[in-house]
Amino acid sequence: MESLLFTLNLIIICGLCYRAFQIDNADIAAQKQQAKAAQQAMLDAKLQAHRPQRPHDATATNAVNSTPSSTISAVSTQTQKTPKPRGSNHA
Amino acid sequence: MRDLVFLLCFIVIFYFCIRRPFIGIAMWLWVAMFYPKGWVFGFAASIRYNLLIAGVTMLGYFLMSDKPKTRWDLTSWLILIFLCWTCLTSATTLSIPALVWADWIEFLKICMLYFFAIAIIRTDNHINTVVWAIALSIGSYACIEGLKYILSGGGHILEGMPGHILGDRNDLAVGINMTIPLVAYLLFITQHKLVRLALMATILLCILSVLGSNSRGGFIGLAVIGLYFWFQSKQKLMYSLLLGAIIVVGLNFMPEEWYQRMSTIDNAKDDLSFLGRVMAWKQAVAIASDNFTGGGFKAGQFQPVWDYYDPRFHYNHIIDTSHIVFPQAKAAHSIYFQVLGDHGYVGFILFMSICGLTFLRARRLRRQLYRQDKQHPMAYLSAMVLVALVSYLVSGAAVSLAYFDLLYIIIALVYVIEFKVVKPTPGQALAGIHGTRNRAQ
Repeated sequence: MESLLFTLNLIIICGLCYRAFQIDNADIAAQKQQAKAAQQAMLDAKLQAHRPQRPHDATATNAVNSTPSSTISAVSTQTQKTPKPRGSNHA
Repeated sequence: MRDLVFLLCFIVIFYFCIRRPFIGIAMWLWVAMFYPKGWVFGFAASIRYNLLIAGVTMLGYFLMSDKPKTRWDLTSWLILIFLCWTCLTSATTLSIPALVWADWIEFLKICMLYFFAIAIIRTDNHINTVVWAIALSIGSYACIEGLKYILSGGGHILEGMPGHILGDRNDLAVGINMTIPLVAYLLFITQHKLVRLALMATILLCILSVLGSNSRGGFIGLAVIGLYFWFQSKQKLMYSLLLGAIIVVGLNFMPEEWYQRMSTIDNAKDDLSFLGRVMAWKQAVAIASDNFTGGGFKAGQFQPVWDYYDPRFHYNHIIDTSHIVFPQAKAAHSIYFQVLGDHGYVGFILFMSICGLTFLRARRLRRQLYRQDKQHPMAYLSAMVLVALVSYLVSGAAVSLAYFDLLYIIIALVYVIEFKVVKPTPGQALAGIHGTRNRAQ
């Protein structure tokens, strides 16, 4: 009986090692994926920050068209004065 | 045949230890507690498994390209100072230096296991693997002994492996008591029905084997664990009835010797075994009072030292032992007096600080985690670690088991839960994962 339990214990120990190894592999893969996603997000943010602002952007034109004439000049002056792009803080 | 089976399995275990150092930590502990050398015969008994596993684990750690950062907390510093202090007490020993240094090296190995454990273990999976290793070493041995106890109709008395740290049945009972809460944790996290059943059987057999050890210290430790679970349970009345039924049925199967042994807890003053322990405690105090650095590892068991500090002539105003003569030197029979006699008052304060700090940290962690989420596995583990520690501190009062691997692993678990699971430093887990990943490739 002793030998049987001893062998059983050894088999379980081997199984435990294998299972722990597998779980660790999965953890590593998940962490790797997470790190990759974080890196990608950072890269996207950087790209977004460095992208030059187009003056005749469709949305911008719409916005200008819908803005009262008195504020147009103020907006355009502000844009010229502050060329710092959006999201540059994260870069 | 047993040799071959073991060697085959050891090759598999060794392979996983090379791939992942945390498996190495778990197997280091498993080899230390299971003591495969005691199970095998022939050539397999001559291999130093612990050295192999420890070596490959350390190598694995040093080869990690991006090691996880390890915070040096107060407990770790105290353990390091205690290790250095024991080095000094070994150098100034009253006993035979060769024997004392051999014991110091054993203690050094335990401390190294602790330091590598706090450096390597960092995730839930790592913690669970270590806890499983404990259950499959001491727990499985307790199962075998428990089954023998049942099959012999209560006649079998628990025995440890000769030559092992838990060779003495009292020491083994303390080890089993510390394992029970950890098996309860495994039961808490396990979903698989068959495994849960096996774990429940393990707990029952552990309890039976402690009762079958005839160890009074073990019995008191078991009572502490029982009380904890009773206080924590929601259905106290139901558990009381269940416990009462088990006790009534169990006591009917207990042999007469067990009753005789347990009854000596009440009339300890007339019990020669207890008085022998008192003599060893008195001698430890006498050694510590006379030597600033204590006597060195197991100095009290060295006959000339025992004769020089003859306990018959010390502190008889507390308990009179002047009429008792023991022909041979006795072991300290208490973790507290063992450290006191071996390493003096400084060593005693250091040891008590380590145990006290761990107790306070485990209690704080348990409260903190229970407040957040009672069902979180780490919350339950912190509670179980606390129970195991209290059980050790209570039943350790009657055994010479101060330098015990399991105690240091429990301290390491508290550290890991606090610093790596509850509040890891930014990027710590990621750094560790990178290191392991690089090694895996």
